[in-house]
Amino acid sequence: MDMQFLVLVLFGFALTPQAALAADRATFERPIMMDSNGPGSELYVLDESGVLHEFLVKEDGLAEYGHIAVPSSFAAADISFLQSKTPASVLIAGTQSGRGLVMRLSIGGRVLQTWPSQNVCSGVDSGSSGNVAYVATSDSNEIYRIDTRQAQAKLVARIPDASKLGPVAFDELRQELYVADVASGQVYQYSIATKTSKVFLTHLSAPTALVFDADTGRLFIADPGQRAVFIADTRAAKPAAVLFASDPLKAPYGMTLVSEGRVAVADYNADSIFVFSGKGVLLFRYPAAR
Amino acid sequence: MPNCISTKSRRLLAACAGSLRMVPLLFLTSALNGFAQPAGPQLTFDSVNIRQEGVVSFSALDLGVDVGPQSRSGFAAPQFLVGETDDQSYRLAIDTASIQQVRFNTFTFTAYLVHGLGASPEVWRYQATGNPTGLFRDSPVRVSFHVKNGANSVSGVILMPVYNAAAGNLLGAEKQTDLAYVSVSGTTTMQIALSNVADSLPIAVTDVAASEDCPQCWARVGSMVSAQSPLVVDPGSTVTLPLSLSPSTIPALLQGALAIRSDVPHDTLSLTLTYHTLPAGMDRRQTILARVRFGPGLFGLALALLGGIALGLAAKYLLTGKLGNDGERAVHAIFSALVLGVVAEFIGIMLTAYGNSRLILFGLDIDPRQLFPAFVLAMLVSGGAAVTAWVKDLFGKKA
Repeated sequence: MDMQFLVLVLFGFALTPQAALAADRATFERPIMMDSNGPGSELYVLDESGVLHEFLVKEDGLAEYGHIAVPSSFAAADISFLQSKTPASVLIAGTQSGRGLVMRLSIGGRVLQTWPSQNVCSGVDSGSSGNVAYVATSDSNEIYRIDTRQAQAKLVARIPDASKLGPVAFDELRQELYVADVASGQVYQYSIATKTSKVFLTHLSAPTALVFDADTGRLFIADPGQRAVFIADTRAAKPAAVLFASDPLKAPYGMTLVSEGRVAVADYNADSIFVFSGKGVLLFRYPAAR
Repeated sequence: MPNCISTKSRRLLAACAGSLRMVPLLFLTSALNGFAQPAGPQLTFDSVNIRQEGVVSFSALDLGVDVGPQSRSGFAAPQFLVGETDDQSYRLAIDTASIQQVRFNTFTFTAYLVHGLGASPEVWRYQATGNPTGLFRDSPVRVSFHVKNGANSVSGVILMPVYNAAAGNLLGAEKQTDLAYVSVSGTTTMQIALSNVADSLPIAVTDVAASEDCPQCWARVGSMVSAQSPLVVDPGSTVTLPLSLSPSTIPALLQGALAIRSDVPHDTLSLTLTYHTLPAGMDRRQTILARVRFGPGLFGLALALLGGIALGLAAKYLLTGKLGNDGERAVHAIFSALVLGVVAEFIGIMLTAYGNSRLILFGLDIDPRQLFPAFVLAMLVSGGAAVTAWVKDLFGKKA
């Protein structure tokens, strides 16, 4: 130690601090999934590096005002903002150490609650009260109900004909769930009241995000296989998927409704967030330079 | 914009309407055609077992008659992978540019079914989705497909890539047995061996990001690899990834001075490699650890040697009143100290760097390539028995 100390004294006076080369983990990179407080003016986007970015949705752009890191051991699959809950938080469905898990994460970055599962949790959507959420599993094709006031998730249904269930959309008024089958390109409709399911939509490629618009009764479907977003009228007698937006989408992975009836789309391959009007007109993209 | 006049596909018609912002007409079109059955042949793929490590199942969405760029004239390689039915009546072409891995561990691609020869064959377009299960690596596999047109059904085989996001790390990295030696003066190139197993897809490394335990020790850690000039690791081969390491001289020397033992790394670099399989695999990241020891470089080592020799001679003169042996001229004594110091340092470096020997000085396993050990070694050699005895007395240790 004496020799070490000597060297320190000899060279210490000449020490010049160098800039750290560590990567900035908060860089916005490859958005995957998103949700908003509403549809509202706050947008939460989880990107490939596991950072949850918090944006303010303005008239002509997005302004990032914060970010938190999701625990690195957790592989997120879907996200849902919990309305009317304090502190403000999101539910994130995914896997940890090979097992399913739903995590309630505060916007401050603290894990508030967890619901473990035997199966891979792939989709999640919650109601307006913030107490109830529904979770789909991709390996057992089941739907679970989570009550944030309880510790255990409750099995609601199994979709026997499904191949790989993914995202979920919750029609709270009619108490119906829409669940996408990512592998077979279909959307199932499940009635909580009658406990029955049926194929709601076909002729999709790989639907990776669903959003239900309670105001219009429209279901938005993001389909990266067809590089497009489709809509379907859930009140129609014979619902069909109709093109909502395609250009300039490359891989629309995530989607949510934001304020003023607009639709935000997380495009993985374009490395951007696109915001469309309710009629499918592109309003702006973030970051604007890409 | 798609050719709206000649478009027959319902999807393309919708695309045209979207581009013209004819939303009301779009709903009407959809309502009229929403449940019309596509007129083309039915395309299905068999599930395929990948080396007993997993299975891929497929679904195919009929997008109707293709009226794209001159009906994909010729479906030329390498953009298209082509197979054909056993009776050669249909050709199946997969557009590799369309392949993408999407969320929930699935992948999609566009396939074209071609019937007939000549200048204007019939071409139908399909959007297929692959659903992998298990832990197999991205691989090229032979997939059976079936074409059903009315009562007629034919089969064929196509060689195509399949992908699986659930697979573990795809790159093999040799475990580092010896610490990498990095000179603090200038730039040192470090080679990292990367391998890829046989019967898999080529891997393209597109980015290398480094984080360091001692960030202030480094001026730059870089690689020439980029998305524009990736490093490709072919199946069954091993390639070396060159890394340019430029330490910050003083902080690196200080970091080295704190770890005298030759088997202790001065810093550990966490190299995060971004890569994907070819064609069109998703970006993956894999972290490789590289342990390094800093060295002063030739110039720094020479300065340390000279300084050590000078100090050793000065100490010997103070202790004994002379520079050399009895009757030895001062110039001869200085020259002898210089030569012996260099020889001792050279032998020390050779034995420790290229042999299994260790240099133990005052009970410490030291590395003579480091600045301070070289300085001490030169001082003891030039100082001779007088200085060595004085040091032993001072510290109470045996060299």
